[in-house]
Amino acid sequence: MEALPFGLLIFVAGSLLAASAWAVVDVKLAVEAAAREAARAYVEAPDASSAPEAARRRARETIAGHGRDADRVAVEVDHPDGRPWARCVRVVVTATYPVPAITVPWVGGWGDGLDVTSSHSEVIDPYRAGLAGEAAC
Amino acid sequence: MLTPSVPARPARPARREPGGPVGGDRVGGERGSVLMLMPAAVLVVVVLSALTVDLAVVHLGRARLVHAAEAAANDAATVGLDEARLRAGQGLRLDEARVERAVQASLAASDVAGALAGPPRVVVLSPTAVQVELAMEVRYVFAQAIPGSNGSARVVARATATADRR
Repeated sequence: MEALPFGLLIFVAGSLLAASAWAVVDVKLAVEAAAREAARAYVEAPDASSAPEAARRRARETIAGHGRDADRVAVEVDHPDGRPWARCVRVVVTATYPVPAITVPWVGGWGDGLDVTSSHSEVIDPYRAGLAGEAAC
Repeated sequence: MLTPSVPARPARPARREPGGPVGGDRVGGERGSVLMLMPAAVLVVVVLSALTVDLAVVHLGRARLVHAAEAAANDAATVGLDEARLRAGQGLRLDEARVERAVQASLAASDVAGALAGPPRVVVLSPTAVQVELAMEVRYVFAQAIPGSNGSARVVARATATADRR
């Protein structure tokens, strides 16, 4: 008789573990897509002033498209070589989204888990029209 | 002479075989035996869940690698153009040295930089097309605990990009 609650306990613990692990995988897919789309929006923006907002907006839209809360995604844009937004400049966009410690399907999540991060880099097209400066790459 | 009738005697109970049912029970000796299969069933479910997670991790690693290969190929097709020929009006043509540098720079800035299982394979397919092939080892989450398992899976990703005027 005692095998029944013991088996149920193992089943519940195993299911919670699998659900939590899958939540991390699912969020990773979402932030990868968000970073990629944000980087593409950043390098295709018409000018330097609108590029960061374009990247954040695209990242939020992508996260929302994956069924996640768009307000919880954090987007960082970095120029590794320190140059401002211009032709040939490489940009790295990093998207971060928090995953709760315990996730129960169809119910929700609790606790502070970990932050899932993904980065994507793009180069501003050296030969695109409409930008000042020369292609120095 | 009349023989008095003998009243019918009640039937004697059937002889009980040793080890047979007692009283009204029909399956008393096997009571609860199915319950012992519960832990085994739960174990099977847990193992299947672990397998699902591990396969998902491998799929995720392959997706990361594909995205990195696509970004590298895209950068190679853009930055790898022979600028002198382009400026001279001689059309689009990829320079192999520039393509190689562009791929290396793209991979160095990606999040698979330190995880590749070898140098990237870069092939210029045509004057305007380049192919990038990457390989990576993805470690399992649960299968590492299985004796005899190598604990990882090798994934390969390939992406092609073509330079074109817009």
